Amino acid sequence: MESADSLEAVRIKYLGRKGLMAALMARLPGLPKEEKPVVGKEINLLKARIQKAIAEKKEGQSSGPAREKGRADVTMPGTWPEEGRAHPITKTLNEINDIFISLGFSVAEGPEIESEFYNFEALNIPLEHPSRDAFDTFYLKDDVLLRSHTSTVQIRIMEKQKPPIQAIMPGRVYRPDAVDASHSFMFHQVEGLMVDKNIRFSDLKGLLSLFTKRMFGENTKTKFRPSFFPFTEPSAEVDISCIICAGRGCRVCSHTGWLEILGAGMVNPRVFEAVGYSPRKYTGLAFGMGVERIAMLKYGISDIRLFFENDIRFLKQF
Amino acid sequence: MKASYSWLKEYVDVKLDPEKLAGLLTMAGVSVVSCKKISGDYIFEFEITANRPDCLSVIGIAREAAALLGKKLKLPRELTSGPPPQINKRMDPAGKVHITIKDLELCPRYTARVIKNIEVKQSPDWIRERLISVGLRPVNNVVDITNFVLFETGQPLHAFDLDKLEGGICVRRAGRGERIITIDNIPRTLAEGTLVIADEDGPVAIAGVMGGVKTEVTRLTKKILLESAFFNPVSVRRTSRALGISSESSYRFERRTDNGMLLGASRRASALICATAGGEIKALTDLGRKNVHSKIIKFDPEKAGSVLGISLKKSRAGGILKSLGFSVKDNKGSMSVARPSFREDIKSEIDITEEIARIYGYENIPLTIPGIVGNTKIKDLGNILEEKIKQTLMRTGLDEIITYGLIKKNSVNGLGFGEEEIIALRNPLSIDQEIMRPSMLPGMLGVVSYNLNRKAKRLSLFEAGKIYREKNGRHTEEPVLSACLCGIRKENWKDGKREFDFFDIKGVFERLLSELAINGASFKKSEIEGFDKNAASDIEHNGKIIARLGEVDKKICGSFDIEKKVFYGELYMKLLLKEAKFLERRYKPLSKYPSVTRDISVILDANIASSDVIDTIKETGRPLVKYASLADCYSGKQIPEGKRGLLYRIEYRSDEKTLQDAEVDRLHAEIKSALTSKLGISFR
Repeated sequence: MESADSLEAVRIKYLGRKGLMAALMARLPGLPKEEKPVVGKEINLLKARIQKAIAEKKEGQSSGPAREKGRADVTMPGTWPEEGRAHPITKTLNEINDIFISLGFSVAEGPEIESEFYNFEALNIPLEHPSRDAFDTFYLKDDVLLRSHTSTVQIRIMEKQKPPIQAIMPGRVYRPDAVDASHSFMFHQVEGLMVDKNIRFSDLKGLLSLFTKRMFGENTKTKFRPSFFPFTEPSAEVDISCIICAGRGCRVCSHTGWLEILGAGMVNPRVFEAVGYSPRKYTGLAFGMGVERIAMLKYGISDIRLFFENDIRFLKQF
Repeated sequence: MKASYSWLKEYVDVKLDPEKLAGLLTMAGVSVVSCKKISGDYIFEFEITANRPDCLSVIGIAREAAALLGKKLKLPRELTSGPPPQINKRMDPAGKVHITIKDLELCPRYTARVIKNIEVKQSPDWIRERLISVGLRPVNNVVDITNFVLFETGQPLHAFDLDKLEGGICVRRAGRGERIITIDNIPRTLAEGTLVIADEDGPVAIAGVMGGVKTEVTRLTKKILLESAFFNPVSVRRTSRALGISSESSYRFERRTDNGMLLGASRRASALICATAGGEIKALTDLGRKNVHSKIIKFDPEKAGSVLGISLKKSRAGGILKSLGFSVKDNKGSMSVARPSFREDIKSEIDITEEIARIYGYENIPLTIPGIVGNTKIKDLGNILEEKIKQTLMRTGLDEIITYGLIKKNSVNGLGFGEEEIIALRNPLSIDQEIMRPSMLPGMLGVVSYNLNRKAKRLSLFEAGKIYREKNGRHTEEPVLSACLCGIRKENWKDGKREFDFFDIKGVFERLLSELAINGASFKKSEIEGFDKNAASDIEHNGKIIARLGEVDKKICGSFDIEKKVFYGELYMKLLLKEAKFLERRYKPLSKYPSVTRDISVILDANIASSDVIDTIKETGRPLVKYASLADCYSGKQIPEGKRGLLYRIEYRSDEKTLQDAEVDRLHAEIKSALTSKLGISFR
């Protein structure tokens, strides 16, 4: 009984549907009532022994090369269960989301196809003003565009809901930028908004410092520089100490020791006016960040196109 | 915007190391992007935000430095007070040029000085050096001085060769088809309504953007007309964009120039021209709105302090504002602040708060953690569903991909979309991204093709994203999940090799339905555009198609250069929001009684669906049949041509007692006869 085939023949002979054991069982009803349980039990025991013997034989021969008399060649490779992986953008996004969720934020989303009101006007970006230069936009038709930032969702939330608000808004945005190693016409942003009585600029600093430490490690330093965004005032660019060189200066940080990572500020009272909040009653903080940029820094990826080529050799690394 | 360290030092007494000065300015919002040492001097390059046109000049930056260092700003005399001594107050009326402004909205103010008897030649070295330091090419003394003053003050100036002007000049909108050859020697046809400076013959300059060749100052020029004006920012911006010209002038005009600097800059340039070209100032014309009216803003330091999270004393606030050129009046409680003419960006109290904050120093504001406001809901059901789906697919062995929402128009050919459904971009960057995807399939096939070309053997991928379609004039975006299998399902030394097939993609979707607790969905054989008609199925639930899947049509695969079979499916997540009950899962007590398993081996006609057999078994065997499934499928010598041999496994169990063999036998026989009577099935 060397081959699997002959083993199967034995199994069919004894244990098959029309096998010897089945024939034995079929004769059981003909026996006297008191003998039935005893004989039945015996038959079952016998059946179990045959099954066990066949199984043992099978064990010995089926994985032929792997085993020699029941011993595994442990140097042969294991067989890996298949597994799938999350895209690095999703992983990064989830990390960002989870940090803010742990700080009490909720998650909200909004449409990608938007009007000028949500993308510009309500955010205090007037038509034909140089401040629009930073927001080149894809248009579908007059007054219908692809949002160029997730700040649109700030307006949508505030229109729907009265303060207090504490939410992050992740999503895709589009800008007509020619594709190269650091530009993409589509990328992901996470926007954050907190509106209540007495939200302060110091809260913005504290909150984002905490975020960068959780995201990039507890030794991460944060620097707030004055900047300009039409929808926040005061506005800030937020830099972190370079996560590659720890601030000593390297190629990634252009030898400055700092990496620009977030735009932030206090919600401009004009934005509150646009959504019908009283600027006298409420203050708010807002921030936004590019997910691809953060993922590139975190994983040491130097070309943004890799995210959208989806080479599985790339995807399997995260 | 560039400025050299030595030029800055003309207006403010800085002794600080240039690198430190750069850091100081950056941390106050005047961002220095580079500081380079060039022939003994340092050249700063600034990135000036759109709200700060006052910093588009050396004096503007010097003013910031002075405020930060507590120093005084030193300005050339001509900029601060009346005419320089060589200007004759009683000007020669005969030399006056007739000027009219036809459009006060686009040109609220226009001034011009006549300077005669000049000698156009090379500028003195100090002017040439200044211009070179900020990246400009010296031309001649007159042009250089207009550029010098532009960089010094931020006020753009333009000099016309007066002898080449025909008659007086008029500031007006261009008529239809008017043309001009600009100083870069390019003939241009102007859009109707473009603001121009024109003489009797037509436009001689595009207002605020670029001058014309005809009246350009050359070595032969003897008389000039020096323009210093205020042009409407929006008008200049439109013109500059329409013509594709961005000049040092247009850049400043479109960000708004300082009306208060307009005459000073003209005086300063006149004085420098007279000093270097030996001319005499003959006449001045000043038209339009001359008043610079200041705006008074009420400012409460205590409130500003509470917005910033600091305690702000009135005296500190006042000191900062004065150093920036604001005038401050102390009222009870609050202050009245008047902005200088160069800070028209300051419009309300929060703008003043920002001025305080940036000079106070963001780094000096403490860190506090805001309280949690108490959100009762963390995520929408849609997000939760999507996460659940992603998790399930990853556990099932699929890798996540993310593809562009914009795709090539012809990549949706053959998928059955009507022209009216497709959303196209009005201003696409390239034909590769001209429409919004109405389906996830093209993006997926692109990725499959890309990977097969790179010798990938096994592709099991999914994407969660949106599809975009136009419906009844409305743009819709709908969340969709796509999944795809292609190539080798499994290959190792132990199990051998097998390719993916239809039942693998079906299994993926079955698992999804099971994980999401969508009960009662059925797979219907369908003909779906884009799929092979022999292997495509809709998944129906409560009368709606919630998903579709199958083998992708070979022609479609071919258009992506894919030769292998591709199995693909998509799930319409929006339709599942109410149907997916996975959040409502409840524990079911485990059965105390054993189950009995029996097999039925049938021979099935090709036209009878396997699911009909299962349905009949379950229906007939209710409630004891707990589970019925296809256990094996075979064909061979024993099976007649065109038929299939199928083995079904049935699990019988009662929730109330241990089942007796006889009961099971009876039910099993009933099931068999039901199969025969309903489906005409025979048994092996």
